[in-house]
Amino acid sequence: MVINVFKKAQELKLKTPDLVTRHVGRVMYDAIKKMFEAVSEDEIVVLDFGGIKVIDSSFIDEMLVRLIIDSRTCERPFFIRLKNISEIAEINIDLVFRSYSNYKNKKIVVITENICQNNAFFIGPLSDRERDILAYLRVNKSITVDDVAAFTGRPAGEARKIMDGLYALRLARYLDGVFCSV
Amino acid sequence: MDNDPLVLPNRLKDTYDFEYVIDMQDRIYGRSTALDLSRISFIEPYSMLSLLLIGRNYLRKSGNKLRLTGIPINIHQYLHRMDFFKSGVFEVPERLNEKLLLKRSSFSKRVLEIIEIPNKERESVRVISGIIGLFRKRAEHILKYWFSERITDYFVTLISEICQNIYEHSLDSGYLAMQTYSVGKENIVRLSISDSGIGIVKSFENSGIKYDSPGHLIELAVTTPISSKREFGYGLCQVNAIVEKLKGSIFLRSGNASVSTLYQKKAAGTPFLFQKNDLKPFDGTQISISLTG
Repeated sequence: MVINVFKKAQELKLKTPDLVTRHVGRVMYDAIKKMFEAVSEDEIVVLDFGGIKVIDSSFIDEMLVRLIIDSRTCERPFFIRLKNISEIAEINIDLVFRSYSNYKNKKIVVITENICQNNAFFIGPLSDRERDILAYLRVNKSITVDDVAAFTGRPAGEARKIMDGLYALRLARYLDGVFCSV
Repeated sequence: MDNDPLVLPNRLKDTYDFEYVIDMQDRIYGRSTALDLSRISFIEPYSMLSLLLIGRNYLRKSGNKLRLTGIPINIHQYLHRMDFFKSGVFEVPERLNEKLLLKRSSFSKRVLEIIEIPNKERESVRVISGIIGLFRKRAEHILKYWFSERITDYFVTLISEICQNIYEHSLDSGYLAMQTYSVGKENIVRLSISDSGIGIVKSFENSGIKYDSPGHLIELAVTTPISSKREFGYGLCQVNAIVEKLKGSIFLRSGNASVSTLYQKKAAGTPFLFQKNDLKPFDGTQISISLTG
C-alpha cells in the first residue's frame, strides 16, 4: 500500500507543505489508521512524503511514532517504509526517535526508500552491526540466519537473535523461513 | 502614582541590554503612569515584545493602560508598522501623521509583524499555520543573506516548536515577531517569541526533575528531552539542535534566570553556553533566536 501523505493532507484540508503540531498529527494518524484496516499481514506500507517540507516533533510523535508502534503491536503485523523525506523532516524524525529510544529504553527506527544523511536507508538509532546487516539485507533482498552468521562472523544463535530483533522493530520481514528487506 | 513619565533608557537595542528595563519594572508598576521613549534610538524584536509584555502586565495589574510619550518619529513609525499598538495595551496620546506611516508594500517583506499566539490549542494551531504560511512567503526577504530552502525549513521548525510551547506550557498567550536588520557591518536575523505565562520553573514544578538552580533547569530543558507534561519532550531540545546546525544563538529567559547558547563560538572551542541566575524576575518565558553574519 502506498499512502501519499500530501494528498491525504489535502483531503483532510490540512495546510501544506508543512505538517506541524500535535493536533495535525492526530488528525493524520486517525485518517491513516482507518486505511490500515485494508492492510494484509506482512504488507509493506509506503508513506510517501513527496511535497511535504517540514514535519515537526509533535506531528512525528502523534503520527509516525504511533503508526510504528501499531505496526509492531497489532494483530496483523505490517511494515512501514518512508519515501521522499525532506532533509529537515529527516533531522526531526531522527531527533524524536533518539529521544524516544533513550527515554523508553525501546528502539524506534524506520526504513526509508531514499538514502539518508547517515548514508543508510533508515532513520533512528541502530548499532553498527545492525546497520551492516540491514545494508546486507537491502542488497540481497532475502537472507537466512546462516547468511547473517557468515556475514558477521558471529555464532548462528547470536545472528538469529539480531534478526529477531530487527523483525521485532519491523525493519526486516520474516517470510517462509527467510528474512526479507522492507 | 506619579504623573511624570519614567524615562526609558536607550536599552532596547539588544536582548542582554533589555535587562536594564526589566530592572525598572518595580518603578514602572509601582508609581508610573507613563513611559517616556524619547531616548530610544532603536528597538530590536526581543525588546519590542518584552516592552509589550510589560505594557500588558501593567494593564493586568492596574487596570489602566500605560501611556507612551515622547516617541521619536522613526521609532513610532517602526512600532506602528510592527503592529505594536494593535494589542491595545498602551495609551499613545501623540498620533502619527498618516503621511508618515511606513508603507507595508515596501517594508513588509523583511518582517513578521507582532502576532499573538493564543493559549488554546485549536486557535493556536490555526495561528501557527498562518504564521508559517506568511513566513514562507517572505522568507527570501526576511532571511536575505541566509536564504535557502533548507534554512527556511529550519526556521519553520523553530517557529512551530516554540509557538506550541506557549499553549502547552505557559497557560497564557504570547507574541511572535521576526526581522532582519543591520547593526554596523553586521547583519542579524532575529526571531522572538515571548509570553508572560507561568514560566519554566513553575511548569516543571510537579515533574520530579532535579536541578540546582532555575538557570540549570532552563539549560536542561534546552539540552535534554525533558518535559513538564509528558514522560519526555522534544520542543526546546529540538530548537537547540536546529540552532546548533544553523550556528546561531539562543537567548532564553524565564522567571529570574536565563541561558544563552552561542553556537557560532562553539566551533572555535570557546565556551558557548552561559547560565544566569538571580536576575530580576520577569513573568513568563522569552526566547530570541538570532543568526549573525
